[in-house]
Amino acid sequence: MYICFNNHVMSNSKLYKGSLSTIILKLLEEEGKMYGYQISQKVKALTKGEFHITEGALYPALHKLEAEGLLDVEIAKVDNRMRKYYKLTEQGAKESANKLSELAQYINTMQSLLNPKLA
Amino acid sequence: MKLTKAQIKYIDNYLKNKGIVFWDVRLEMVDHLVSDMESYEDSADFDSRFKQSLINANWPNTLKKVNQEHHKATNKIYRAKLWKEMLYILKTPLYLISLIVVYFALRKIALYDVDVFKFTFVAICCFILVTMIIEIIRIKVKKIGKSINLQYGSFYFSFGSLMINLPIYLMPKDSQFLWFPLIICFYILMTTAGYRVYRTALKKVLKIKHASF
Repeated sequence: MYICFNNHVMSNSKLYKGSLSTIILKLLEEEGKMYGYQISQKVKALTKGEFHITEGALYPALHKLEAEGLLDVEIAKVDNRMRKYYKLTEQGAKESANKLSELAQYINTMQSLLNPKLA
Repeated sequence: MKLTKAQIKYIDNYLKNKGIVFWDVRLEMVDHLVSDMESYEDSADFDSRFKQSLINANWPNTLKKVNQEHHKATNKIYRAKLWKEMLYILKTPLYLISLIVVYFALRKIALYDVDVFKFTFVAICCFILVTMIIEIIRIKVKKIGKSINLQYGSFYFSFGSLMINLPIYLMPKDSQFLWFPLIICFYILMTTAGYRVYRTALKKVLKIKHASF
């Protein structure tokens, strides 16, 4: 699984795996319901093209979150095809808050380690 | 440029021929490719745009892996549902009391009449088998097609039947009247939970099918 960052493919790491779930949960918390392609485009737009989630990373992450009960799925007919929308479950909404808090804590800790003078 | 029904069907067939045999897996992939293709405003032809969208998604080389990922994720979903349903049955007083009553009834039968006990066991297995056959016929009649959700739902419905052989083989022969009723009760628990999982999968698939009309 790769997440492309400014055309440099970065190696798989726990940090990026965890971040991807958090990104998905956060976006769904804000937008209500989204489909896969929409999520990838939204991330691209928000980071001005700097950060691109590949389909090989996105869909397994979405299915994993669905398997964990954090996301619910809704199918709708759109322009001659079916579309799968994802939305947060109640558990997903709670987990989104937990993950954001975890990530914020992680960033603070890293800043303390890397910039002790600023901490 | 909006894609036509025929063009979308072409994409669907392409993925099917490349090994994505389940329509409910292809559903999301087709939508992704079509959304990407429709996002371009240039005047490129369908084939060029389709090839580019496949490359953008890195799917020409990874369709096998995508298929495997779907299998893994769907299996995880339904396996979790099975355990959840088993816990639900054990936590529901009516079901739990019924299981306990069945256990003691079977134990009494096993103690006093082995032939009646064997007949009861065969009758339970036949009842479950007949239910499975009815559901298979139902799926065929409804023309649901090859669905990954239904595949795993059906698998976990039959899971109890697949698992029962080993405990029967391993149980101590001198205390069969104690163990056999327990194994049968566990079989009933697992199959009932599996049936509930199957019904969830069927409901999900029928909902998608109805949404497509």
